[in-house]
Amino acid sequence: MKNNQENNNLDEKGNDDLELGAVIKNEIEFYPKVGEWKTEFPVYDHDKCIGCGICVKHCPEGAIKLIKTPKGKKAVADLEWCKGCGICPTVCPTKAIQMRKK
Amino acid sequence: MQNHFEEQKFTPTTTCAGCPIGIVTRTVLNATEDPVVVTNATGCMEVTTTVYPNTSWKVPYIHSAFANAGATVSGIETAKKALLKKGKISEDNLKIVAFAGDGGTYDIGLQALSGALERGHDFLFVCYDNGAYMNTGGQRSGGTPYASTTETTPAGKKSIGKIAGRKNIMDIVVGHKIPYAATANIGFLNDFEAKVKKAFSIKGPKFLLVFSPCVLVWKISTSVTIDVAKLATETNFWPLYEVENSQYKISYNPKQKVSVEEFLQTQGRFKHIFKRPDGTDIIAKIQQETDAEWDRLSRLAQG
Amino acid sequence: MKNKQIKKAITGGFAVGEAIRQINPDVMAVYPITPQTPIVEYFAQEVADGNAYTEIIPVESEHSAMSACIGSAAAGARSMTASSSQGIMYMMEMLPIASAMRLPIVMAVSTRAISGPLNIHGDHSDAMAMRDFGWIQLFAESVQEAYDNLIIGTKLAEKALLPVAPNMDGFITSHSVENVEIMTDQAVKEFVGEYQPTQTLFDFNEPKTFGAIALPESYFNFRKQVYDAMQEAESKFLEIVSDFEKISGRKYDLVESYQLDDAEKVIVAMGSTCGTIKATVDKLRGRGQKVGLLKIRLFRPWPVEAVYQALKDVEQVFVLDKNLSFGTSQVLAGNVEIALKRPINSVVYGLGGREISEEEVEKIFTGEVRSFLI
Repeated sequence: MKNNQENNNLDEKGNDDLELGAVIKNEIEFYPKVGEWKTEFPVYDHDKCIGCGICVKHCPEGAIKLIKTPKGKKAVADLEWCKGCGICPTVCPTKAIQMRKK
Repeated sequence: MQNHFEEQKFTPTTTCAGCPIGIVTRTVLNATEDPVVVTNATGCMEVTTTVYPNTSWKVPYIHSAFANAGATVSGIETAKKALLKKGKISEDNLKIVAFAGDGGTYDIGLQALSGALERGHDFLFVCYDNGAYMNTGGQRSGGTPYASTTETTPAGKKSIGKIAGRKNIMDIVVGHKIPYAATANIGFLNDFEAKVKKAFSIKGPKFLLVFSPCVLVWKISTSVTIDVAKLATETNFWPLYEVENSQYKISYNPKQKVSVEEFLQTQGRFKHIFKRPDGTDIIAKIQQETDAEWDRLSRLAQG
Repeated sequence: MKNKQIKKAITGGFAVGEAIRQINPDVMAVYPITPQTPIVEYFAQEVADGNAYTEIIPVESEHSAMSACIGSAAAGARSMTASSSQGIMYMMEMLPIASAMRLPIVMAVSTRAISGPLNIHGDHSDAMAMRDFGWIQLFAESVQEAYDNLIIGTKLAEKALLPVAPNMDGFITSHSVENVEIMTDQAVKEFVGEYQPTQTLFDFNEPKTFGAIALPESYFNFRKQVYDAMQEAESKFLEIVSDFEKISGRKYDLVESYQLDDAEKVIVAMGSTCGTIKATVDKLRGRGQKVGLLKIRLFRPWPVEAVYQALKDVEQVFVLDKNLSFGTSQVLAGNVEIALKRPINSVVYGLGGREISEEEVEKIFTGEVRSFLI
């Protein structure tokens, strides 16, 4: 049974779509967007960011990544998945991250 | 950002904001390029990562019950041996990992863990230790520290919280004479990562005990998970050490002696101690036990 | 085609162990409990002597035995174990998980009374305790049937994708020596074939998650999936026993009708007691009494239609339960009543290994015994 299907009456729908033994596979497209939980979001100052990757490792959701910019490798967060926990500012060695209210 | 997760072995979960479970999982999975199979005891990690029809795992994963991470992993490891023998699989570098919380390790999972360690299966057991049965709301476990308040050992007019101390699970595991056991901390990721890599390079049973704060039940802000974790080790509340073939080695020696009281002050689960008339006695007792354990480990590491 | 079988005089435990050796499963979890221990001991010795290549896991409890089987079956390895009584009770948490994950695990059972008080002798209470967990259950009257059921059960598990428990009576069948026709290793191997899982943990191209948590929107559907699989298992069983007859010469069905044609009084029973009942039926038939026996071979899924057809014209039906249910009617008796849609006579016997003699069976037919053959 896929995420985007309606739940139906047992007998009508039949069980063709039902995974054997409830065994499932990863489909991130259908995962609930936990980014909607946040009340604050992180802002990355690319002038201060040295691209060390410490925030990347410490993000519980793995939502931060280093991207190539003209200023070098810099951190960005995917706000679809960032829960706004506020951990990344606490581990950034150059204080390049600030939390801002939504 | 679908591309972002394409190379990842683990995608976002429905854990509380600030919960380090994602950090533990990714640190372990990313420490190797080899194929990995994961088994998981019931608990926060399992429940927040596999709500049908969604799963956060992009590696093969099985959860079956609470008590049996050690037994399930034994079955998987034996199947690996059997199928390699038959030539049905070719991944002889397959790494097998069992994840469990402190409940599934110290308490209900202890028997299966002990059996798996004694039989010498080739696997890594990672316990994310948050000191209570968090998935059910924070009831005490064998890993809950002394004087912590929990739902089943609540602090009250007539109680200081948990009266018993923490089970020394490392001693129990080391008593099985396994090749490698170590404590780790999400606040010391380089050390944690190095330990996982070392564990993966060793054949036989390996055990990692990872300090993992619980934002909700410890009553800390979501942003201080790493800070609190770091403080645990800086105060020697959570010493970082390895035991390789029964040889002890301290991984991190705090340069300054920080009193354990500073660690206790950061969390709501210890708040009641500071309001009690015998609070200073309780803290002194915790400090004394922390010091004694650190001395013991230091002596073991020396010779 | 029928293979050249060898006649051996061996116990049920060794016969089942021999069947497992011939099948040569990938993984076997072993833990001792009376009276199944001879199975695992025999098998362990065979592996130690190189006669089977199974990887044995000497687990530290039955709960771990079933957990290990679930782990290895999910990984795509043919997995087996054996247990009885308190062992089954201890692993009970894992039994419905095995069927829900659609894992074809085979667990040989030497049925034994459950505690308390503690009793090591044979009755059916352990098999009854696990009847609702999606496991296919077979019962054997003799060592021959115990041997055959293990082989049939292995193939059935993989066709139905449900775990199977072939049961034999503790001590009476497991420890008694009987003549058995043992098939060749080759015939058994060809019959069960190679295990070809449709999904496995060892799939690294499309990694799978086993054992998710299902919320109310989906849990019900998955339970129904197991229910539907059980319903289909009956026809799969019939296909398999038909194939089995070709290689063994032994014909098996869902039930066995013994002298039922014009029978006015019939006992329904399972397991080794059927031998005693058959002897009694012969004796009474010799005196002109129209009695018969209906032996149940496939207990779960319950062969409701076959039971109905066999007994629909029989006046008096007596159902023997080697198990005691409290506060309600007995299990086998209740199942037979559902099939016949009329009241039957229920008798409980043999608990904790208490013997039943031909004279006592006669008393059941005459109605001298009502509810308990005590």
